[in-house]
Amino acid sequence: MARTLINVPPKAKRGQIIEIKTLISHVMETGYRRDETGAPIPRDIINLFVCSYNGTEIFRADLHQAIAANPFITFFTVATETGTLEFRWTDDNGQVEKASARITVE
Amino acid sequence: MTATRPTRRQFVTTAAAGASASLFPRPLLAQGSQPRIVVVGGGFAGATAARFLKRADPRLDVTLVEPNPIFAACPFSNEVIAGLRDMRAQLFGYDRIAAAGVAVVHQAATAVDGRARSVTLGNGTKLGYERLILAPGSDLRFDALPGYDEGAAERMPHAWKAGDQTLLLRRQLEAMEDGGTVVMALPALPYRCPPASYERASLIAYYLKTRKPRSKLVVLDAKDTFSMQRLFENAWQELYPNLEWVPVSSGGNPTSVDAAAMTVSSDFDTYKAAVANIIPPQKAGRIAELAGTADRTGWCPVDPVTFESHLAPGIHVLGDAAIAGAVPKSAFAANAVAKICAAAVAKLVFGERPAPPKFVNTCYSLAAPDYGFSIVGVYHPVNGQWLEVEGAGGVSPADAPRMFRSQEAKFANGWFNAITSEIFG
Amino acid sequence: MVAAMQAYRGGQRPATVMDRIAKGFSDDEIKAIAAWFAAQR
Repeated sequence: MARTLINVPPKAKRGQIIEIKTLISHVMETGYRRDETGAPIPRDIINLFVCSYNGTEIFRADLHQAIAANPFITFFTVATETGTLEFRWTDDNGQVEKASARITVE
Repeated sequence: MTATRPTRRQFVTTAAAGASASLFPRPLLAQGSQPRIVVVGGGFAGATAARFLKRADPRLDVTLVEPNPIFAACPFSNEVIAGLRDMRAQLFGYDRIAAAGVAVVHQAATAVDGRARSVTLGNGTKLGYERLILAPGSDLRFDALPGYDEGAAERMPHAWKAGDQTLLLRRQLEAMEDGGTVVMALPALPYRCPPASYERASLIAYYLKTRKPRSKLVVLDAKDTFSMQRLFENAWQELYPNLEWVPVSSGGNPTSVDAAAMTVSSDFDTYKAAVANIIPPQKAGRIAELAGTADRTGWCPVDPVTFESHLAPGIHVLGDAAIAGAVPKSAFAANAVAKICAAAVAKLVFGERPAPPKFVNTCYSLAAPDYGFSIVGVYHPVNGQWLEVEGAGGVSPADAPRMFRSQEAKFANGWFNAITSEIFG
Repeated sequence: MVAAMQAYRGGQRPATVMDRIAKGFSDDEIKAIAAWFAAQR
């Protein structure tokens, strides 16, 4: 469905606050626009973004039409243990894009 | 002189408040002394203003303050970087401006006292003025992009002020081994002449294609859209498979540099550069800030008719340092608004009202030496703000034949020769 | 000059930038520009 970019520090100290950056290429069509024939262009946005850390959900965002194309979401979390961060973007058509990153916690 | 000053200041306040012309007190200068106008900065805006003040009214006593005896022009300096042009073609002296009756002082302006109406120079001299015109251009912000300070600029040139930096980037490209990656980092708006950054990308790609065919250019950009984008992108597609543009929505926003390691980082990646050209965020030249004309953005808001500062009466700000609605930060616009300001100031010092102005801006960009295109705007003040005249201006046609492009490249050269000879010739 | 500027504006005269520039000026303004140039001789 789309191209994703994620930036998670590969290594961190236990208890360290880490910044996580994500970007997905997506049109984020609002549903309010019309095409050249006057027909409404159907809404197609990413409406849900979820991040889990070793299976536990740590961040969730509901997205609405006011979010620009190619949503860039960045947030912070605490590095607790070595493992995998999983990212899920869901759009209006029910398509889900997934990405993941490993982190080693010392 | 001192006794008459309050009257003069009153006059300024009245003018700024937009009172009717009949209320304007006839200033003292009409009595024989010559009103002195000091212009700080001898670039496209300042040098034009000095010359055109003298032309508008030979009675004016005009002083141009500029530390450098030789001016290095930015337009076409991208051709110098790409090895297509000699640096000497960019250099201009102030002899003809002095010959036109302007007192040219090669000193830096270090302070402005708006109350006492005087400018302090690097050698300690104080110059009194009736009106002050500041045209200091833009300064590079060495606090904005982590890792990029003045020291880093010696390894990773910005080349966003023509001169040694232009030649440094040129030499680095020449010395680079074939196969090395060139990384450019571009800031968000506003900054000096944004289209020039895409022209530079094009001409560096041209140099690599012709001289270093195994090298490539990565352009990290804090923007997703830019002026003449379609024209540039068409040219890149046609000419430069070696150029990769990474906009902010593809993770291209430059976030830090490491000059020792020669790396440039974006939100999502780190690029190793053989040559790095970092164009950092910018602000109005330092003296504009010292004079109290810059606002929180670092730029100077001004009146559209007179270019008088909204923050410091009696001081006018021109060129890149000013923020005046839709007026672009280009050499062409700097030259045009300097003429408007000169005409206005020549009226204001004699208590007359300046005429409503209108001007044209044309910016040419080269995608290759014989491949040029342009953006045109016609500007007029509407409700205290510069706006583009609707229905006029625009960019070169996207579907024009190569002949049209080579003609525009030729006209770009003609424009440079015309503007520089008008100002410095 | 007035005729030339009007032709640029109307697109009858081929141009690269003058057509785009001329569209920003009214007949009166074009006349004023021409008068200014005439006075420079």
